[in-house]
Amino acid sequence: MKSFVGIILFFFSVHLTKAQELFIHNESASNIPKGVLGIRLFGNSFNEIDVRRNMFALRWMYGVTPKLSFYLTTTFSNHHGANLPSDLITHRHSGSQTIYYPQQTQKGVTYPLSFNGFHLYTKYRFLTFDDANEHLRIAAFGQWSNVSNAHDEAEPNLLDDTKGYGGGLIVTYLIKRFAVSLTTGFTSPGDYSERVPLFSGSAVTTNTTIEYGRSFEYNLSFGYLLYPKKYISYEQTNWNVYLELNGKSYETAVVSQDGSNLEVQTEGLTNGYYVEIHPGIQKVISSNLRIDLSAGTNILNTSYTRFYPIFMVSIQRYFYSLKRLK
Amino acid sequence: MSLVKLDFIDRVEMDLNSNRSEIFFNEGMYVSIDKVAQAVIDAGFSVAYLNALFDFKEQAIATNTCWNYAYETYQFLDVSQPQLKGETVLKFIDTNFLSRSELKKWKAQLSAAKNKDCGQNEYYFVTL
Repeated sequence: MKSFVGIILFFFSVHLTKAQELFIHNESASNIPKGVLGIRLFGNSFNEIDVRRNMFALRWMYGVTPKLSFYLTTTFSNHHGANLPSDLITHRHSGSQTIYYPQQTQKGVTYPLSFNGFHLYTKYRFLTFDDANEHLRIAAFGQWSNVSNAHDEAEPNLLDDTKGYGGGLIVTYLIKRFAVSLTTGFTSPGDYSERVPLFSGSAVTTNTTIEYGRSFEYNLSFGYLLYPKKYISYEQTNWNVYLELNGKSYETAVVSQDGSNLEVQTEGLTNGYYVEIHPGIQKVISSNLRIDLSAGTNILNTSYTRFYPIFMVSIQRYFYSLKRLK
Repeated sequence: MSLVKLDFIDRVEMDLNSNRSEIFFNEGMYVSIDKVAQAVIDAGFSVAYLNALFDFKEQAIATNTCWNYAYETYQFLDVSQPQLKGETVLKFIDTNFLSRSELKKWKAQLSAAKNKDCGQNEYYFVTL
C-alpha cells in the first residue's frame, strides 16, 4: 500500500507577477493567464495650444490559452471633428489654372469628445526560454481597427485615428529585477473618405480621400522592479519604474479630391519618423491591481498627431475565476 | 495561480522569492499530477521540476517497472534501488514536468521507455 503525501514544485519565474515587464506603453511577450479576464482603463492627455486633448480607452483582455491572448479596446477622444478641417484643402492660381493642395490646418480647434471605434489585438507567444531568475520570450501580434476618424495627418494610429491592420514581433528578456523588450511592427492603415458640400449651403458636393502612410514601429522598453526587495506575501505592493522609447516611421499620405491626387507638401502629411521617450512609474497592489503613470516627449523629430508633453494614466485589474478558493 | 482551484489540493506553501512550492493534498482524494503542472503552465510559467513524496510500504522496483496507483501507472526510469520503503521522493520526467535543458538529458531514456507497454492507463515516467 502506498499513499501520496505531497508535491514539491519549482517553477521558473523571476517574480510571481513578472511585474517589471508590465510595460506602460508596450506589451511584453508574456501573456495573460489562461481563462483570466483583465480590464484596463487608460487614457492620455496633452495640450494643443489652448485646448486639452484627451483620449479615454476601455480594454477587455482575455487569456484563451497560456500562449494566446485577445484584447478588445474601445476609445473616445476629442482629437477630431466630424469632418476634415475646412481649411485642409486650399488653392493657388498658376496662370489660368487653379491648383488645389492640402495645407497645415489650424491647431487648437475645439472638438467634442466622440466615440472612435473598436480595436482588436491578439498576441501569441511562440518561443519561451525560461530559467531560474530569467526568461526570454518571443511573441507575434496582430491588430485590426475599424476607427474611421477625420484624421488629417499621414501617421496612422489604429487605436484612435485610423482603421486598418498591423502586426509584428515582441522579444522580451527578463533577468532578476530588470526587463527589456523590443517591439517591432508595421501598420497598414485604411483610407478615410468623405463627401461634403463644396461650400456652406451648396448642393454640389466634393469628395476628399486620404490614404494614410504605412508605418513601421520600433519600440524599446526597459523596466526595473524597485520594491519589494524581497517578497514575503502576495499582498505586498510592487513599485516599478519604466523607460520606454517609442519610434515610428511612416510614408507620405495620398490626398485626393474628386479623384485627382493633390500635391502633398505640408509636414503633417508627408513621410516622417520620430522617437519619443516615456519615463513612467507603476504601482501593483496585491499582485493584481495595477496603476500606471507616464509622461512623454519627443527626442528625435516629432509626431504631428500630438503635442508634448503627453501624459498617460492607466488602471488595470485581472479577474480570476469566482471559484477561486483563497 | 490557479493551483488553489484544484479541489484535491489542501494548501500550497510557497516561497515567493525562489518560486518553490510545497503542495499538500486533501486526504483520500484523487490527485492529478498533470493538472498540477498544467495549472502552472496556464498561469504563464514553466515547471522546472516536480517531485512528489510517496509513503511506500514495500515496493519492488527496477528500471522500466510499471506499477499502478490511483487509476494511473508509473514507469520507473534509471533506478538502481531494488525496493522502496517509507517516504520517498519521486521525480517526474516528461515535457510538462522538467525544464527544457533537464528534459534533454532524459531524452534517450524517455524515448526508450515509451516503447515499453505499461498498459492502457495514462502513465507517468518517474525516477528517484
